[in-house]
Amino acid sequence: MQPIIDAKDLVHEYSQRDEEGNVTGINRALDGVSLQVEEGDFIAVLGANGSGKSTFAKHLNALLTPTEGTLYVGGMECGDHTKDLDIRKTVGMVFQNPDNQIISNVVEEDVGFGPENIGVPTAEIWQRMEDALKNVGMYAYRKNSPNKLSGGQKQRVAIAGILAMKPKCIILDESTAMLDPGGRKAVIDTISRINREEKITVIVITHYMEEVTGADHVYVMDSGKVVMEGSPREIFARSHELEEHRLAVPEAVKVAMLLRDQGIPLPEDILDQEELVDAVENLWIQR
Amino acid sequence: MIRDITIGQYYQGESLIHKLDPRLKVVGVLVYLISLFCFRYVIGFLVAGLFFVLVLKLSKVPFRYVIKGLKPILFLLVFTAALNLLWTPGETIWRFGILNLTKEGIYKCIFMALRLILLIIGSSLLTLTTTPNQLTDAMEYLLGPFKRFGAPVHEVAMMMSIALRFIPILLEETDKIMKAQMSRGADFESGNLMHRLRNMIPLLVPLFVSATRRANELAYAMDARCYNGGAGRTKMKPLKYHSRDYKGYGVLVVYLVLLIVVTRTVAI
Amino acid sequence: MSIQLENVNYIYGESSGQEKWALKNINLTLHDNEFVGIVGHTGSGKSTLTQLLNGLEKPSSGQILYNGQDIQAEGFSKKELRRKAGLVFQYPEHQLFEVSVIKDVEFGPRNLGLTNLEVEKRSFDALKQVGISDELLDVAPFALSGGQKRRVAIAGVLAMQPEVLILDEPTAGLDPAGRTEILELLQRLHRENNISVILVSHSMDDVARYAERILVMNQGELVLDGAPEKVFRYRKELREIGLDVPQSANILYELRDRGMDVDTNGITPEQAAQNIADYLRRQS
Repeated sequence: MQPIIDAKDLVHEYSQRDEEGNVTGINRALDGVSLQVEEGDFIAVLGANGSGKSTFAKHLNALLTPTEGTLYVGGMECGDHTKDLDIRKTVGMVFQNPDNQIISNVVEEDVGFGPENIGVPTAEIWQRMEDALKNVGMYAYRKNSPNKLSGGQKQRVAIAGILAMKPKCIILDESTAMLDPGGRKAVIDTISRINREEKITVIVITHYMEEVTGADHVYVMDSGKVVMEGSPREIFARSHELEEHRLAVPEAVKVAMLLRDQGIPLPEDILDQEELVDAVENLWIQR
Repeated sequence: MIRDITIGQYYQGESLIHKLDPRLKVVGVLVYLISLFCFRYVIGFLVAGLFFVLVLKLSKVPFRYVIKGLKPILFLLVFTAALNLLWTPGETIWRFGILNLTKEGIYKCIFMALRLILLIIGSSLLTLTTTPNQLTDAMEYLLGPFKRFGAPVHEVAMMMSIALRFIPILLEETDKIMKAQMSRGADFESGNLMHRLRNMIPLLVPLFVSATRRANELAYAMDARCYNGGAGRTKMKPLKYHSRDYKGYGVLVVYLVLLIVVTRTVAI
Repeated sequence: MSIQLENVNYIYGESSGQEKWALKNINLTLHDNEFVGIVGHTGSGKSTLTQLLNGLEKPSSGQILYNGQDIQAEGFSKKELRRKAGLVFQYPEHQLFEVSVIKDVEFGPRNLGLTNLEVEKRSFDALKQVGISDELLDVAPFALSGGQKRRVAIAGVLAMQPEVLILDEPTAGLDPAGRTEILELLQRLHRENNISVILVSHSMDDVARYAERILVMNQGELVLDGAPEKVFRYRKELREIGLDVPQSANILYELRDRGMDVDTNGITPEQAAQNIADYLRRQS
């Protein structure tokens, strides 16, 4: 099957200009990124601030065009702007700041904004709005002003706004960075469930390691390049390498690693607290 | 402190007036405002005032909410009233220096004050019973004919509704920036005018930078949701006239006829 | 320096009739040279509390004493209070406005009416303390990275030489390395400059490792107050209000719940690993 996202040697350069508009320097935000995403997958792209992960995400939605390399989204080539609208119908994007992506003063009208833009008939807009808001658990707030909602709730409304456009793929571009732990969990739980139940491809861009434990595949970016990839277990087993890229493994993984360093025979691929506690309990029973 | 400001104050309700089509309400208010300038006798205010009371009762908006709208223009009201009262030439009743109280002055003063009050409370009834979104929808529709001459009617309506969404956000942000700078010893309250203006820079620069950043991100977010201008767009809440709206237009016509008849026959 | 709060309440929107208690009956003394962490959810009242401490907001009732003096009393200088209790807001973008880093930091001390020489010296020193290198002094603050902006914002307050540094979510949005860098900077300032630090955060993990005392806020009330190890003993209560103890401590408690007699005194991964290893060795 054709992958929903197929990037090959993707390069993106920003040019810095002085006050007269002369190019004074070139900043390579993406430096030869190649990766493929299969439909239905849950993918995480990890990276520290300034690693290029957000620049990459904006290409998938045709908000930025590659300087070099090729990118196919749903079989359509990004680059000439003829297919922009179709690409954005295929891949929806949730951004970082919840306030700067909600357009309307009423929750339900905001969810209707996308469908209105792509010419969905009125009756169907209402149906889609209802379904989408129920899906993210925000239906009770449909008549509210977004200003009265918490950050996590606003992001769930933003997800509903994308869902109502029925995309094949949803990208969360650092959508949890400004939320508190509770809001973060609600957003990640919501998007994971959407991935499972609706079979929508999900790409989560983040620097919070706890959010990627449920992913099918993890890419780690640094300085515009993909520097590590693998399953969460494989990635977390390489915690020293992660630290070099300004990232950190979840604490439970770190504790497991320190224990192994001390010669305690724990399995290599411990992912979270529960697995660690189980493993220690097993050792205890054996002794 | 800044958080207390409310803009586009809407009084939530389910009354008949709330439910009326926003186009009818905008047209109605315009007609009403113009009508206030179409008579020369105080008797006109009786008709206009009764009509206002009728609509107010139907809207179930408490009178004190309507009165609140007068507060900001209280000074203007008193000023124009005093001006008319004391400087209108005519039959003198009382005189002190350049102040000249005349019979005509008293009449004109009452006349102007009543007109100004009805102007304000009449239009505030529109914003109290109509959501900002309905208002922009109505504006977009009513200005629709100008599209033919290339006027960006849809864009202007979209801008208005986005502005309304971001006003509270920017107000809150202003509050935060002021506090952040006050924590560094900034003073926004004392000094002469030039001094105060200069002291605003630490507030205005971050606010401007932030607003620009927000605008940028919002543009991305709108692009990402396939916003492409007004063409090919459907509406989630299309405006549709109901029978009550036609009746509403009827009532408006009856008001106008009544006003003309009364002011032409009774000269008080 | 000491700050005392006595029966402090803070109520929003009294005039509109929709009262909301942001703070309920807070009693609390902050001592000299402490590193205090204030933890709570969004809306728990922790941000309001910081703004009361430096006089930006007024309590609806109750008293706040700074070094024994009522800060609402007539004649008490709010400006002086704001200098002594330096508050750094969450987003550095809310305060950076000058054309260069050094000028921006100079804004605070200049408002104190110091001589040019003193202003420059303090600003220079503050930037050095937060680890901003010399070549960045003339750069526009907007061109800095997120972590650098936060350092400059902290320097902007440090240059006023406060007695206590209050920070509202200084690590929000930073990557793990950036977060550690800021927290270690605060620890260094606290240890080397003997400055009190009050760190407000919604993350127990951030606070646990650095604070000597933790205050837990929930819905406007101060529910726990004590040393980290003491506070973490209330694991169930914390979980009920949706806060978790740091993962490392949690692991130790979890093991104990399953019948293993591990030492539960440990907050960092290193301590947790050590305690578990010790326990397992004792068993064999």
